[in-house]
Amino acid sequence: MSDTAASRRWVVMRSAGQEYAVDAVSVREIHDGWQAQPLPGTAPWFLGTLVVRGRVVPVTSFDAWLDADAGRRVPPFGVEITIGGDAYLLAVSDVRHAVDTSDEGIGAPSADSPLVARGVRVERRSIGGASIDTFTPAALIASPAFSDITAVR
Amino acid sequence: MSSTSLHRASSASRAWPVSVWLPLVLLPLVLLALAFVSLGHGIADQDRTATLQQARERWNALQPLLLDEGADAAVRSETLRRLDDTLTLTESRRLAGSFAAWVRWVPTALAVLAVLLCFWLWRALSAMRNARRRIEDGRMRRDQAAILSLLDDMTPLADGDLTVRATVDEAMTGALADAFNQAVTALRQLVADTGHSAKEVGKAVASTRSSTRALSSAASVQSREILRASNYLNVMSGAIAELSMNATASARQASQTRAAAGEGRSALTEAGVQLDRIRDEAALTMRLTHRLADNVRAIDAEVETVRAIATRSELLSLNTTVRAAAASQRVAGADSGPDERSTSDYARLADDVSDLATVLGSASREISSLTAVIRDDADETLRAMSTTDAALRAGVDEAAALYGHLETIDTSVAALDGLIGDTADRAARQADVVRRLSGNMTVLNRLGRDGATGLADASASLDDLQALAEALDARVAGFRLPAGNPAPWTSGIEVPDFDSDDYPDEGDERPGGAPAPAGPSAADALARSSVPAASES
Repeated sequence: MSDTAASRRWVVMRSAGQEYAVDAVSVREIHDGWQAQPLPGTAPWFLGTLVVRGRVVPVTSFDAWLDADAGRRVPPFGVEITIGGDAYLLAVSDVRHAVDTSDEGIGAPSADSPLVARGVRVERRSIGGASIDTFTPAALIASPAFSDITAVR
Repeated sequence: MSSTSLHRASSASRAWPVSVWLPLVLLPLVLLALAFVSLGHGIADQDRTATLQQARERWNALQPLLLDEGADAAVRSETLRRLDDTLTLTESRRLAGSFAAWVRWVPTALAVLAVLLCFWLWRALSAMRNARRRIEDGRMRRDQAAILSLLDDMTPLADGDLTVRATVDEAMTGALADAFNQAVTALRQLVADTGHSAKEVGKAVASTRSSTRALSSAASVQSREILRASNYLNVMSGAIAELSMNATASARQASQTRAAAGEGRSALTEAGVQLDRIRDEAALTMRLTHRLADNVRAIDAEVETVRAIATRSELLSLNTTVRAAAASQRVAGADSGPDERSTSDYARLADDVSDLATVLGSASREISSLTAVIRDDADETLRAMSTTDAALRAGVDEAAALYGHLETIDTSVAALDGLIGDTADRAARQADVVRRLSGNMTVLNRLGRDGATGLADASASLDDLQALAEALDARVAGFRLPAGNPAPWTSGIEVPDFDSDDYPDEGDERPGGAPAPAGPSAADALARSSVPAASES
């Protein structure tokens, strides 16, 4: 893969029954077996904070954020993404990595995508032979719905 | 009674009593005895006197010798004193005899007196005998007259006249007349009873003859029935013999059944042993299967560990990929050669780890699926073994129950065998008894025929007896009885009618011993034969 400069590595996450991909460059580490410290007065999808290697990282249940009707859920895997110097932990049901060689998107995402409904800019790509909605951590953080972790939205 | 015997009886009745004539006879005899005794006593007294005289003389001769010997004076004096006393006593007696010398004449006087008494006794007896003879002669004449009168009274009796009656008076024949009258009365009653008895005998003979004829016919029927019964018994004997043979065959079958039951019991025992062995092996298999299931669960636990390792490896692969991507990003920004190689190494390592994780995951899944299959198979095997064990237990229980049933069958068949054997023995004995009974029935048949013949003979004899009774009736009718007694009777013998057709003939008997369907039985014949006798009575 090193001989293909155009190839990109993606971390594919499964949340709320769908797969989403994020560029592997923006992922610092993938965790499992973590235990977040909950914070009172926060939204149900905000699981609390987690200390990772001396840094306090907020933990968001990506499944609960995408599907608010499902209530509070604690998925097993945590994908730590970084934006600038800040880190966020997305708790997802499953995670894998995939590689695609095309640097272009294959089209607009579906209109009923939960990420789109929550104001996240999404790009659909063909990763590993499948069409997966991709997003960048910056687009996620920019979403007002993701930044507001208070109990009342 | 003759006149001599009457005279002797009269003399005997008028003889002197013993208290009179015995002293008259004994008195002379006593006197004669006293005379002889007195005579003897006198002779003996003379002899004793002579002897004493001789002893006196000898003593007188011996006394000086005793005084001169000089012997013991006391003894000799005592001896002499005693001898002297004796001689004194003897002398005194002799003197007393000399005083009664006149007694020597007493025997002669007594003898004379006895002779006189005997003569007087003879004269008295002769006078008494003459007087008695005269009295006896008068009495004999009176008795002869009474006897002649009695004979006159008894003469009509010889003609059968039972109305005669002798005169009873104080004569010698009074008792005879009284006895004669009693005899005539008894004879009169005897004749009346004889006539009545002859009539009754005639009736009885007639009834008996009728009964005999009925009995003869009944005996014939009885003989025929006995013959039928004998035939039945022969058939029964054959049936019982066949029953005995069947019982023997059944006993043989029972013995074979017992042997089969014993073999079945042995086979069941062997099957029970085999079932126990199979159950043990099944239990061993179940234990091994349990152990296999436990091992499978342990493998599952290990597989979970491997799966966790695979997950961790996958996570490691992801992190390596992330690091490789980050490194690649930095390389793209710095544009340096060695870092690019390091990024490539990261990517290769990530791929290798990812491949390893994939292999581990695949292997763990396959192992998990295999262990699941093995666990399912083990569970299925355990269920099957449980079912097999239950079936084996049920089979063992059924074998035990079957063994018990076979034992019960064996016991029952043994009892049945004994009963059948006993039945066979009893049937054999019964057949023998029936055979003997058939022989006895043959004998009874012969006896019945003989009895019928004997009854026919008895009937003929009864005819003769009835003729004799009628003859006796005629003879008794010749006697003449007084008006107060029953009149001479006439023969009232009535012979009851007897119809021999009341009984079936022997020709009714069917060949082969089959009984006649409508013929009267022997019991009916006997019942009917008793009817005439009952009506007669």
